[in-house]
Amino acid sequence: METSDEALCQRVAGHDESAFDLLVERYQQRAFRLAWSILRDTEEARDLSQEAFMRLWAAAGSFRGHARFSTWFYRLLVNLCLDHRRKHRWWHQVFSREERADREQESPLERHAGPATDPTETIGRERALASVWDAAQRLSPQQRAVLVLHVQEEMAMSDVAAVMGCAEATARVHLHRALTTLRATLGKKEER
Amino acid sequence: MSRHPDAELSAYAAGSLANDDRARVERHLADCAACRAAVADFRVLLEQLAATAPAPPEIAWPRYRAELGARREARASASWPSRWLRPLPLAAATAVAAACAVVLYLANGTPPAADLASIEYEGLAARMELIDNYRAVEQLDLLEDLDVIRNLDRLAPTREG
Repeated sequence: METSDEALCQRVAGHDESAFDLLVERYQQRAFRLAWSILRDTEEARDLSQEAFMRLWAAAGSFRGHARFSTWFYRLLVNLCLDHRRKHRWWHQVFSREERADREQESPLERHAGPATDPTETIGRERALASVWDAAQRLSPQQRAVLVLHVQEEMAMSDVAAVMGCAEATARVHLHRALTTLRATLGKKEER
Repeated sequence: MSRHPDAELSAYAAGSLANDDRARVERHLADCAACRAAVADFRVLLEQLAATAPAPPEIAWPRYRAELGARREARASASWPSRWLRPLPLAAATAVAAACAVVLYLANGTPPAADLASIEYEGLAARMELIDNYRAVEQLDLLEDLDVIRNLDRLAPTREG
């Protein structure tokens, strides 16, 4: 039978390297995907997901087993990502502005809307779908984290709240603000 | 009509409300077209988000684990020497402070008495290049600057401002 994450974490607390390696193998992809979904930067996601494993090695003893290991570890990782965004907010704002400016410099053909009966309707629909996550990039890091945890990681809102370290009602408010903002943003786009 | 259950509309659309709350929201929706429209939009958004979640870039996992291992080793080996070598820059700062004290003492115009203390001050005053290089000393941090501290007297006098 496979050893549980919780049992492995207890062994990591006693600095068992093989238990640590097993947990890394189990969680490396999920950790990187979650960090990347929040940060949308490959190098930052690599760095912070590795840092989360470093913290796991150093602080496994503080895992008391009250929650699932995954919840405890995700909380550690999400906190790292949100702290990172907070510390580098000014840089990210400047960068995002440049990125938006780049996108606005589209060719004249792309700037003008096509005819109403566009034969490439499928392509248009795919673009619209992709723009949902593009729009999600402009949400606050907390709102985006809640969205990623609930929609992408398929976590119940009670688990999302545990990872975010807030009350479930607060997590619901983050989700609601995220969806309201997306609805308004995408609604405006469709009106154009 | 009851008050709009704003924050609960998203949770309702996401299917994450407890039975009592869900029943209350449904009673409200029966009478409120605006909230029904919002719930319908939220459901579409959640479906689109779930269906189009972008995949992260591909990562070479053996390399990722090797980097992690190297990071752990680097942190483990970097932690112990810095603890006991940290007082060295403090010693340099103390030497600078002592030299400053000598300058202030001499500036008062009082000739030093020929006692042990004055001999010590004279010795310090003979090392006045520390003051010349104060700007460099001020910026020294930890052990990576140890060689600079050792070779202060070789620094060209760089007086700024």
